[in-house]
Amino acid sequence: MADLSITASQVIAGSDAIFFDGVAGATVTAGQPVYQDSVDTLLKLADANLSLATANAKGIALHGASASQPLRIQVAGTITMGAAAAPVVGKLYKLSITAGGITPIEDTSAGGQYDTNIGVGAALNTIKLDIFPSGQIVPAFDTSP
Amino acid sequence: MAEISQTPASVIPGSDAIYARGIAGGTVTAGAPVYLDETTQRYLVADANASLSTAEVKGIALGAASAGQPLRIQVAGTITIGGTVVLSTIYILGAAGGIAPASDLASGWFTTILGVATSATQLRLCIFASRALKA
Repeated sequence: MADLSITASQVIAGSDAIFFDGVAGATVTAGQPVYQDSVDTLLKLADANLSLATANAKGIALHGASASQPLRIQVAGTITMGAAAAPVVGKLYKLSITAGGITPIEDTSAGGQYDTNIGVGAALNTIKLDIFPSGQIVPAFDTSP
Repeated sequence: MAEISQTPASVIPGSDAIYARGIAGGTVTAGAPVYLDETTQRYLVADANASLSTAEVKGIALGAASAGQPLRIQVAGTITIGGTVVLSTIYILGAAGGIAPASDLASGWFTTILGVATSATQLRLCIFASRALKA
């Protein structure tokens, strides 16, 4: 499977959402996982295979922002990803190797990227966030007989 | 003069910015003046000639948001407005989310002052919704 196809305008924080407010360090759209740069403290697109730092996802952007604009992200709770994304109920979603992407767990089987949990798909096109950057590299799945 | 042409990605709050926070009621882009819908309590793009309520500007949007998404606005202080302005000129709310020089005030507009240009790229916000309708 591929990364979730997220329509930014359909991303809505749930009533149980927990937020973090920061400043964007690059162009970010709603629904993209972001990390906080330890040097400039700005929020930037998370990426599972760029570096340990970029895989350290902090939350999901809740609106669009360009560099130096304020950005609110959701760090826990339920988030509506929208009908276009349609996360599968009960499926574990992880940070993608595409910057700002969210991918189902089976897409990480090739290995080589940092393993960062995003959350679990739930009803009504939502994800229950459980963001956990393990800091560990996923081993390649052994397909030999 | 005409309303200023804005690039949303270039809209940046100054270090003296004062903020308010809320939820967007429709699509809003950075740099747009917004008002607070009294019924839904959500921010919408302001408009000088739609109604008295749409001219009651609360601040300038600092990011992009769709309906139901969080939105931070700047209510005072200096803002890089994302377009070219003329030093010392007073800027007012224009039509449909625009920002216009005061000389553009037209019949049928509620006069809402946004601020004064302090450079070719910045406004010092002084938002004042007069509720006065230009005859």
